Amino acid sequence: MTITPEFRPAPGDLEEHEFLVNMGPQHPSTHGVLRVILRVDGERLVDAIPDIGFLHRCFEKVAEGWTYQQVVPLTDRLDYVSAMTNELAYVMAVEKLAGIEVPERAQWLRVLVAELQRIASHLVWFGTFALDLGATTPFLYAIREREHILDLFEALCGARLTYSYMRIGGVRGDLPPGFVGKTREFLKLMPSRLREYENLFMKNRIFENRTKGIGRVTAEEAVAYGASGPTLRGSGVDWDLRRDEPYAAYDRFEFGVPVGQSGDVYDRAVCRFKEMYESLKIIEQVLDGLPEGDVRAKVPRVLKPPAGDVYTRVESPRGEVGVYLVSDGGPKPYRVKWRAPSFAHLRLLPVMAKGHMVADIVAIIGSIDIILGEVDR
Amino acid sequence: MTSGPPDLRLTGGERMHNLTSLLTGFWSFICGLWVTLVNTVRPPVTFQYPEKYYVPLEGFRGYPALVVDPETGETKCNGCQACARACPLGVIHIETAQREDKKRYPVEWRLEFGRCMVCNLCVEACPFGALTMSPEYEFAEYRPEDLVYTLGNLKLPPEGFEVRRLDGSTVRTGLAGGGRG
Amino acid sequence: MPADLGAFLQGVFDQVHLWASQSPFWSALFTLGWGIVKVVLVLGFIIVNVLVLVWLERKFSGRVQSRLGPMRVGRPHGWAQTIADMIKLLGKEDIVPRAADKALFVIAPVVIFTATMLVYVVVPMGPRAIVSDLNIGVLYLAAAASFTVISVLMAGWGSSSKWSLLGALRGAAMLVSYEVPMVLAVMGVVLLSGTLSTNAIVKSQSGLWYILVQPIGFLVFLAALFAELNRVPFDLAEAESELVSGFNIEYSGLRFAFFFLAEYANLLALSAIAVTLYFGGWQGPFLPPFVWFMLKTYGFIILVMWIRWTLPRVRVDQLLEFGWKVLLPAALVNLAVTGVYVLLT
Repeated sequence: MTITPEFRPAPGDLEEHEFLVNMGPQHPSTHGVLRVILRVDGERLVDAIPDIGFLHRCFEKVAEGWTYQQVVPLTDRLDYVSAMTNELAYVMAVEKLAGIEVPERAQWLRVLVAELQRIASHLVWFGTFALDLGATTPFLYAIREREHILDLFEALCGARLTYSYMRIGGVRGDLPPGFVGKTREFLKLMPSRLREYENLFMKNRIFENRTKGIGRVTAEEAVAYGASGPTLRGSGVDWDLRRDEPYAAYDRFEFGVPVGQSGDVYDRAVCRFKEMYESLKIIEQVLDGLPEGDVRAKVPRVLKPPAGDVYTRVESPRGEVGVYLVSDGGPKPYRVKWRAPSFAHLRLLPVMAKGHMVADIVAIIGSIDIILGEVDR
Repeated sequence: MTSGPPDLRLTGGERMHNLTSLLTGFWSFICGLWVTLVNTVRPPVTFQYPEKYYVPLEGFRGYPALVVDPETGETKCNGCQACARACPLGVIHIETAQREDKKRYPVEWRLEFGRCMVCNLCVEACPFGALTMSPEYEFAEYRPEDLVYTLGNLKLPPEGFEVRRLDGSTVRTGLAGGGRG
Repeated sequence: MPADLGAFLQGVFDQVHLWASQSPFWSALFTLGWGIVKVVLVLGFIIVNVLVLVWLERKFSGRVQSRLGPMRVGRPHGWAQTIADMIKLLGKEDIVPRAADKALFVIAPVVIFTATMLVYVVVPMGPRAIVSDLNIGVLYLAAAASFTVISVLMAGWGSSSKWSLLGALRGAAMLVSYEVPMVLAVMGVVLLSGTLSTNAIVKSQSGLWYILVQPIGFLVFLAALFAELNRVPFDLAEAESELVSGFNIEYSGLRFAFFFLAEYANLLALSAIAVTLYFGGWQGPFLPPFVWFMLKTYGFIILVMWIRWTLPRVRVDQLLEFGWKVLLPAALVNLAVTGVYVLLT
């Protein structure tokens, strides 16, 4: 189907029995301002075309005008549900370019907050996914558990969503008093709560009926479209950056990586859910072995990395977040290109949606775990 | 349909139709109902704001505030503009003058809080520890002009603020402390 | 006191009836007046209970979800929240879409509320407290419960909106296809009690509640109940249908309030019927019958709400498959087994 510059289908392009449904930017189930144009034939979807750009805030251009240090709080606001991994990707890129060595304790703290962030992000995903499928209650439970994590972050860096915690050369500050105790309490509480969610929602027959066999993506398709994270692992491809290209002390920890089989919504959802258990294991290992030392390396106040370019990637809760950083030797980056996983996954939407019913599109979008902040930047 | 035979992909509905699957499905509902029942007897985690004030945790970033020397009542700021340079959005404006003993002091200190993103870079940039983050969060004003804070309302109040710690204790903060991060 | 009150009221009624039977004119007037009194009583009962039910749903969902629910409007626990919401709805602009079929659009909410009220005719709240003790009570119920389908279709067609119509068609398909198992399940109860009159069914449960002997029938009835009530897990007629809000999306203000009230009135009515058929109605020791009736009905309503806040939504084709391929055979099997049992005893 051809799309005109006004983003409408060209006239005369639809088949006789088809019509268009506009799942508009304002919709309770699109997780942000996403517009999806559905081409429907009776009950079956023929095509699903995403229309993005409603949340574009010129991140990459603004970053060219700010110093390297100042861009860190800006990266928070891209994938706002998992801000720590964004900051991590960016500061890792700058450190790689400038050849800055990060102290050991800082690396461990980075892993700690990244894994706490992963659990928080997956809880948001779980709650909103259940909400899309009609079950209101799991959302409230997920938010209730997420409050524990947000309290930890509030004590650690002062904010609950846009942390501004990572710094070039380390992290902003050390753990406040009581943090380790509270985190251990959380680690004791969480597995039983996760099992409750399994009983309430993940093992529910209605949920299984609505997600098994829906939105299938084969492994080849997933790799070809650049999927990563649980979207890729749900299709059976065993690839996790934390284990296969370790960064920031991840090589010191033992954890499993859940991999699905059939690449449907159910497998992706179960992968994401099981990752929460693994993150709990990692956090426990971090707390048990946290080394002493500085949390921040000495970095010149005005940082001027040598000219060159670098690409770093981290495993965010959504998939592979990549930063391509180009420096010209000055105090401000020449180019910051952000590789967002949700952007690639959105391109998989027509592939996943083809042949299914209109009522399935909500489940499919929910399984991609899309955040428009990083799609639109 | 004009595009050929219908797509008969499995939709999961087929799973309903034998007795064991029916019984296991029913059992999954019972498990879910049990979870909900258990949660009914847990106490609520919400409370009524504003009747009960939410005491933020120590270190909460509310807005940048000027630390006040307890004896003199003056700020520690000497107008070096390090915070204004560090601010990514440029919301800090300081004008200085010199006192008799050649010490600089700020005569006008303006923060356009409507545009501040509370990123903490100014607090970290200050070499004298003159800035800190006040843990207040009730900022609503009727006019955008009222969101521009000046020297008078940026100074930390002498009684400080009550904040919580993770171990459950409450402390008073912001008296004369502050400084880096 | 209650027994005396009942006898006193009965005495008054008998006296007035005696006076009125002196002439045909007064007799007719008396019948008319008594009918109006009954309608007013039923309406009053519905309205008071619906206000309580809306509040109860919000408070109960809050309890399940570890939060508080309404707290401010009416200081102890927001008891006046529903009243405030109704006043707000009354104050809204009454929008009728230009292309709408005006007659259908306007009549649909009235029809749905009427359909709901019709069910209350055969709900027994006490040994003699029933609007009209029809001896074809259950048949009447089956007929009255189908009225909501017409109203849904009227609302969908009259709104002249593609999505509204599709939502209404789906809702109508669901309502119709779940009535069959519901009636078949109730037939099991009818076989056991040997009568179609609801009051007689309650009286025949004085030894044993029918839920204990008709577990499969009850489960079929419960599933069909959720479909008739348009509640999760079967609420596709108003929630997700074609990605918009369903058959009542063009309604605002007082008309929407009618749909809203009718939904909760329906909940109350069908819960009362469930209690009548399976849980022994107003029967029970020590307490007056009306109190037992209210306790059991509200207990059943809590069960319905509990299920609503636990389960996710079923997709429309799975819903219809479930109704035709699972519930209908189960209801038929239940009927067959019950029939054999009745034959042998």
